[in-house]
Amino acid sequence: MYDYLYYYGAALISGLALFTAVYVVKGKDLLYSSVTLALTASLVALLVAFMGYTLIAAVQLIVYVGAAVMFIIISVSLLGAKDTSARNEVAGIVAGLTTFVALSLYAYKLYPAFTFVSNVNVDQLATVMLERYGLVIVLITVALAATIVEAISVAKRG
Amino acid sequence: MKVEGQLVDAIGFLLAFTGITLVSIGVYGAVATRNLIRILLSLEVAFNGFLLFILSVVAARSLPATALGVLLVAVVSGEVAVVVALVAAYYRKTGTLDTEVAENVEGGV
Repeated sequence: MYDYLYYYGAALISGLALFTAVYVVKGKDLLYSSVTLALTASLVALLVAFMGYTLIAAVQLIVYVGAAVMFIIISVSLLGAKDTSARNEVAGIVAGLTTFVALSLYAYKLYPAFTFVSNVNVDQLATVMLERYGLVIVLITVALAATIVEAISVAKRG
Repeated sequence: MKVEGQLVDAIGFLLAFTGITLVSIGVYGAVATRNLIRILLSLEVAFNGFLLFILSVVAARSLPATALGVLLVAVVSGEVAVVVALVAAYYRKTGTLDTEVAENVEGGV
């Protein structure tokens, strides 16, 4: 009983995520689309938490939705730009369908039996990240610091 | 979380399908439009789908998958800062967000 509730809950959230994603892409107002992207990312974070990746879900909500998407929303509202450009629906549908088929084939080839993730030990994760991915973390930290400087520089120069 | 048997496969299939569909919607949006902000939003939708898809595929290896997910979110958040700054600079220079105009901008943004 509980298992089926869990399944239908995941299905409902998946459906909502897809619906909001379509609005992000097709909506007429850029600001509403940006706000809806925050909703889509929050629903995806919920699905990620459903799988057992609670830490990634928390990072997604705090860093991605709380900082990155909010940055997009504030920038769009300050720019006040409208979406008046023409659309090429045929090219979009062809590209979207091609991506869907390619990824489905890839998933069919790779997809293992699904297992729910047991709670990840944060101490263990920190040790693994620092020991195994130490260089990657240093490179990403430097790249992100440079990114912030670059973003400020570009925004001021414009 | 104790969910066993065929239902586990069904939920895994559902989440992978959602991820693939989100990526496809994002690619459709990025190709169909010429508005820079809309392209950015579409690519963010594709990123969310990709995150969901890749986590459902590598779910059996929880520790490396968690590290990968955290790094992915961190990098994409930094990328958003740069792209939005570039779009803002472009809009100030051209007064439009249409990519068609970019071909005629002299001296770059």
